[in-house]
Amino acid sequence: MTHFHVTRGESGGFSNSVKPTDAALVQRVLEGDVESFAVLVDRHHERCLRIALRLLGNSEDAEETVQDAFVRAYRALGRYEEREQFAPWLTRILVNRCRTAMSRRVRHGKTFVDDELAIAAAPTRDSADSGMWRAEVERALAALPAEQREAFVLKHVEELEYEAMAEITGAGISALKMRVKRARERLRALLDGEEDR
Amino acid sequence: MRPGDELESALDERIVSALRGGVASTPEARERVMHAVRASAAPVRGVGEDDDAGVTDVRARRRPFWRSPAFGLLAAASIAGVIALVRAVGVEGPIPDVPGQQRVASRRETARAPRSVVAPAAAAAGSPTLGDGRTRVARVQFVFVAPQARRVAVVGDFNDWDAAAAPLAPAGGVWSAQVDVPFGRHDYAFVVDGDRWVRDPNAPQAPADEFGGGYSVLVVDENSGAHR
Repeated sequence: MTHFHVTRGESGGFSNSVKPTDAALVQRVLEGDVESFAVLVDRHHERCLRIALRLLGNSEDAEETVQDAFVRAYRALGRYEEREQFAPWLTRILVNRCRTAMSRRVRHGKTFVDDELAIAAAPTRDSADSGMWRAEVERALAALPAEQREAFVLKHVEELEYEAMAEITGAGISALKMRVKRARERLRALLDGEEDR
Repeated sequence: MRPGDELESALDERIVSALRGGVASTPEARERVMHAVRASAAPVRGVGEDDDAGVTDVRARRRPFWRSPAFGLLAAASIAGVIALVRAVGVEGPIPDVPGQQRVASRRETARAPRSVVAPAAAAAGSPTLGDGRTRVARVQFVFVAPQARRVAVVGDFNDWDAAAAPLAPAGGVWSAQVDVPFGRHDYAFVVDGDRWVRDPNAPQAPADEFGGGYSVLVVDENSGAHR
């Protein structure tokens, strides 16, 4: 068995040059080292947050859903198969939690609204113009049907292959391609002209 | 990149570029995650209680309720359009054969009004949690009589109000499903045809909350199995 001496730095890095694989970290967690899970959180948190924010459109809901997904992944870690990659496995849990959050929001009579304050407060290195453009894109993305939004985000924002998307979403590849195509067309229609403002 | 995958215009590129940015994970947010993780039950090799990644425990199904004597009693009484039945059919932990845990037979409830019947399971020894901290669950049978419905699901705290999580199967206008419900108090409702939320007519009603509330209440515990 491979052992790693891991010390988390401020950036979530390691004290030595060898970074353990996700699978090795999972092993350590299963052996009782819960702090190795923190390294997995450091590695995958931002990507998960981006997916959840793009799917839910609200930073508070996104952070809560990501936390929920990590906790569920931790509790289910005993069933994690080493042949499976951790990132898509975690993403599958996250997408399911986002779907649940959306259905709960429907139950509670909330409409899908973009969260302008959250968007404005989100840390960004871009210019104010870029921030305004991003807000427009967020609004257009929020106007898509949930299935199209999910497919578009996984395909073009996260750059996943259709096979991986099918594993994550449970949808067929041809259906996913159609959703992505329609999402692209709809976003173009909604945003064409907005970019010059 | 494969044919059909590519972004087709500069506008596409600008859209995607905007969506890839503007998100930053903070150490505080990651620490909040770890705080919740540390407070959670530790994972056990080979065992997972989460079903979001397709890791649901599959347990043996018991006799369908509509083939039981209790169903005959209910069917005879179901002259009204809708009957909801919540019936605990057993008490069990997340994994079978845990020491100190026993499978128990269900028994019919005959003293309640026929439109809504609860058949509590016999008591199971032990606390609501197993020795390793995992929550105990009871298998509860939900039955809903609605001959005109095209589909029915039960939703509640126990399945995150997900209408896809526990669809009821039809048999002559009677819809039923067995659902593993953790020990504790739960709000629940039936969803008919995807958009009509229906309370169990004979169950206690939860107090209104900020979302309106008014859902039915189900209690699963070690003393009575399941009751409303």
